[in-house]
Amino acid sequence: MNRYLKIVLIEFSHFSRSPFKITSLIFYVLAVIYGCQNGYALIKKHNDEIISIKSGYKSHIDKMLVQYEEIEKGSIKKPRRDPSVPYWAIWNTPSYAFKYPSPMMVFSLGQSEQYGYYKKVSNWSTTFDNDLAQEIANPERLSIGTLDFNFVLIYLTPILLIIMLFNIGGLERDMNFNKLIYLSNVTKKNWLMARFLFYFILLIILLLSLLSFYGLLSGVFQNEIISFFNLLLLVFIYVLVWVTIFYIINFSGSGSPDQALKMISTWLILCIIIPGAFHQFSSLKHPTNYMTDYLDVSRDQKYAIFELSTDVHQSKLVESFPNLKNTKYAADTTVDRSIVSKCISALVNELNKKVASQIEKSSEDKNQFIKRYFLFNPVIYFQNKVNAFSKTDYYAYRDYRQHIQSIIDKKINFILEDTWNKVIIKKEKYIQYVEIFE
Amino acid sequence: MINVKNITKRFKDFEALSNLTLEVPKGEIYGLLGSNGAGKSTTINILLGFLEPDSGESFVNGINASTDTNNARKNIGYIPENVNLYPYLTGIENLDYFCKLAGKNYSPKKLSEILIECGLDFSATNKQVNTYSKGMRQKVGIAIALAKEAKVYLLDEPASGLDPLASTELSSMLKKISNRGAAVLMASHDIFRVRETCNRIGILKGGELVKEMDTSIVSTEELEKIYIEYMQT
Amino acid sequence: MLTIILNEWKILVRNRAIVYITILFILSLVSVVWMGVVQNINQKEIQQSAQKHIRSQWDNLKPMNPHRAAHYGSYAFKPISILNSLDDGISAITGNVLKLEGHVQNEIVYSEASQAISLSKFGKLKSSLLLQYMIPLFLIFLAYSSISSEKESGRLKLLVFQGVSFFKLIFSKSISIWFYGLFLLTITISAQTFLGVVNQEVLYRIALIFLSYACYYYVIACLTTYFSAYLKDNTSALSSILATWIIWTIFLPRIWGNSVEKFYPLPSRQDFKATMKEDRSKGIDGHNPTDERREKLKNRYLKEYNVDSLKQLPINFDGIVMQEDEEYGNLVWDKHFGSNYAIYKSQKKLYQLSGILNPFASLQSLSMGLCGNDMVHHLDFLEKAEKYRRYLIKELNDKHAFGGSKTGNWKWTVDETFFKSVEGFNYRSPSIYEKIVHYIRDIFFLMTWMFVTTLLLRFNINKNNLL
Repeated sequence: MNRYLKIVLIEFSHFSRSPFKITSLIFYVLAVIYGCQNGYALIKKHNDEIISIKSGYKSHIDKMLVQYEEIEKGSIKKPRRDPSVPYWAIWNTPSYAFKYPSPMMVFSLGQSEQYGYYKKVSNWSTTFDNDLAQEIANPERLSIGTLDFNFVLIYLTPILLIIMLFNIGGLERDMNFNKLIYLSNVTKKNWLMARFLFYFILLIILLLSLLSFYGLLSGVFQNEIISFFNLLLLVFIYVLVWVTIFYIINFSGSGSPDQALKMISTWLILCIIIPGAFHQFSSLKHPTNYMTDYLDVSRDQKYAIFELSTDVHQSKLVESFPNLKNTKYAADTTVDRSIVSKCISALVNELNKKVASQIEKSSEDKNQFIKRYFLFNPVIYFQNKVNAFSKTDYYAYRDYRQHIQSIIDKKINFILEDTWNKVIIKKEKYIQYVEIFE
Repeated sequence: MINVKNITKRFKDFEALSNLTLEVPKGEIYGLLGSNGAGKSTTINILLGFLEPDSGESFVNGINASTDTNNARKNIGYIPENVNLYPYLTGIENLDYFCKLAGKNYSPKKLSEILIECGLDFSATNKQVNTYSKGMRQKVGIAIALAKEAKVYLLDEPASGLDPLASTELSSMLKKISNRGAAVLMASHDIFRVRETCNRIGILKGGELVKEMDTSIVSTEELEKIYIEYMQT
Repeated sequence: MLTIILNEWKILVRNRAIVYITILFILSLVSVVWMGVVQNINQKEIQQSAQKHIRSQWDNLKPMNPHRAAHYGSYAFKPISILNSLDDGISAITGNVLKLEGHVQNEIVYSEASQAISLSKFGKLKSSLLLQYMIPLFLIFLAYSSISSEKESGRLKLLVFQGVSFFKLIFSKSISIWFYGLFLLTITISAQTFLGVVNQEVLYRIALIFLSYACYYYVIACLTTYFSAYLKDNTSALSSILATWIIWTIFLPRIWGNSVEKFYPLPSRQDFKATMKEDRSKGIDGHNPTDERREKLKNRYLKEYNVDSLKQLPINFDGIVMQEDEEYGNLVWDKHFGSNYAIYKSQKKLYQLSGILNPFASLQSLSMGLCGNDMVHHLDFLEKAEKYRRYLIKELNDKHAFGGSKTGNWKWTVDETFFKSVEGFNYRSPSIYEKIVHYIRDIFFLMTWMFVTTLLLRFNINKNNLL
């Protein structure tokens, strides 16, 4: 055991006398820092943007409160969009759905650049609205991708390992003294393993330190400690997988160039070709959705609802929301167009929800297709896991869409209940709305 | 044919050749003996034009090897210690390739004749070189030099690693070449082979030519004794 | 030179491993092109059917007020470029659906990348992936020992000794490896030509794609051979060229790409919307009858038609207001979106400058550009879609204003004959002749790299490196 420990320690001398390896390690560390810094900057940007939006709608609320006071005093007449009517009061209750960045985002930007993270929600909103578009960004830059920690871990770590490990056991073969080593009372297997162990430990310690530093900086220890430890475990497994692959290559290698060739080819196949092939297959099997179903709902079917008579609207509303039967208006015998027409968005929302669930299902089918082949596409499995821990994957944004839908539903429920109960909105009730939708 | 005049060559602080002068006339095989680092390969590299001397001059068939390297090379046939040929080409293809590079176009029949003349079996000429022994590769090397119709032959440890039969064949081949009027300079530390092959021998030590003699006046044992004496002093 | 090249090829052909890998490459390239073409056809069908569906809805609109039709709007679906099967560039990232309606200029949404969990960071397995990553790497493996192995085996002396100059020898070896790259490139391009749709424009583009990749392969072959000749052994040559390859393909594009956004920052969506809204509010609010600017416009028209009230106007003033509002909105759009597009273009130019250090960046930019899948082509689509939106809304507003209705008559409708007479959105991708100016830098840098690597081989190798 002592002998192998010495091999591990001697490896430090090999490493420290290789300017090429040291330079590569320095570049790698800089890449990790740069990647985490990008994540950290994005968290800050998202938070700043959210704060700025919140401060913007505060001034709107203040204006509304003054308006209520003045209407109550009689100093102004009611505007076209009368705020004492529940519909317009709720319309004027600013409600935003935010996707607050997780502190773990410091480690992976994931798909965050593909989606919006704030949305003004009204009773007419849908989860596929135009204003839910991603931040303005150069598409070519998005296509090249951002250098975040996830990228460094998934794609650059194996490259660093190649640089560190390609000549281990290979140099001895190149110089024809490999047999001398194996005659020195160590087995090839253990000798290689001890040397690999040095780099494995070095890399794990390095990553652990850097991740802990950035974790501390972004606050993962307060909020996301389980995700953080899951990430550490994942990093450990991922590095171990690559070290094992390279160990097998070197064990059967026939010199440094041969080993380097096999290692880089393995990297190319696992990191670029296989994911690229699955990407292509999934596009063939599940082509890009042009959302025509959704577009139909948002135009034709919505317009068809508008065309219906007030009677039909009323009966459809009662059918879809049976609790309306217990409202004041339900007891009336005459049809009040001004009440019913303010509730049409509830019917449209039902349609939107139906089509949204179809779209989500089609996306989920595609996801399931991708996931089914993770065994053959392991690199993407790890990549998505890191995204999931950082809450920047497709599912985090699906949850966000569900959150948006829940706010829409809540708004509609209030409109229905309060309109049908003929509630007159005063300042206090408006404040209640504000609090609910905050 | 080969003239080396007062050549000195330094590599940083190490003096590889010190005021070396030697001459190999037409039809002579000159053996350059010396230990590792004595300057044998440096002498050959200067004659080949791969190294430039710090002082002195070297001539091949009267052409300055340093200043008119390309013309000098046209007169030289070179056989290194290890003749490494293209493994996926046959002996005949290798020879054809090198001849073409030298601007000579031979028919396959002629190429085959040259190889056979150099001692390669006819059956081997069309086999890929990766099936050849070192001796066979060495024969192709000689064929390349011979096909060039050179006037001067430079050999750097040509018999190293060859079995006795292949070495003997090499010696007789070299004698055949010298009999045709070529000058041969052969660097080696194989005393027996040099004594058997060469007409004249020079002993190099620390970059200086310390002794020159005709092989006809010494036996192998005497030569070994003289060599060791010089190496020990 | 030809002798050396032929000899190198003879050696390549005799190496079984290389023959098998070449066969594998050929099969992969052809099947990848084929898959790309199939995917293109599928996606094109879906896109065309979506566009037809939307058009048929438009053609069969029930009698409707033109302004209501403006709100009903239309959709532009981003078409697939013909050469998408070679390089899909940014197409998975950008949205595909753009709503075209009155008052509002929407943004293109529903990108492919947002419809599933994350997949490859280097794009789909298109020919470009193999041509940009795999083949150069294979050329590196062929070339890294081309001179160093001659050196290590001592064969180099024999070769030079036959009267070949160092430059001729090294250059010929580079060229023979380059020819191998060209061979695979020819296979890909031929497969694309046979399997895909071909017209004159496609042929021009394919020819330029061939030349771009040929330039890059030349750079790779020469540089690798240079390292092989310059450095002392195989291992040093291989590690140096691999390090260069990693920096070029993995590091620099991302780091430079990220930095470019910092040099030319884009506004946040929130700021962008706020400033747009502010500028937009300075125009006429088409739906607000109490708007002051509307009053001014009204007075102008009353004077022009010499009448006292809107009721007396022979035209529908509401349509005039809507169009006036629209035209003001167009100016705002031009200012703000124009500014964003200008930033995109500055970013692209700065990114292209990385070609000084990184020929891969120039190749990538050229490849996606020539395949019609870069930002230049994307912006062209957006600009043409906006142009069409302006045409559509103007047609509707003009009908509203001059179609025979009177001011305030919102119940006045037009029937499907009119809707059918409005042209649909037919996007024609720009010709390469129109857009080539955007790629001059990339072409220049690639050619400079060719020149520099040739010079390196010619003047920076001497016999000391080779001995």
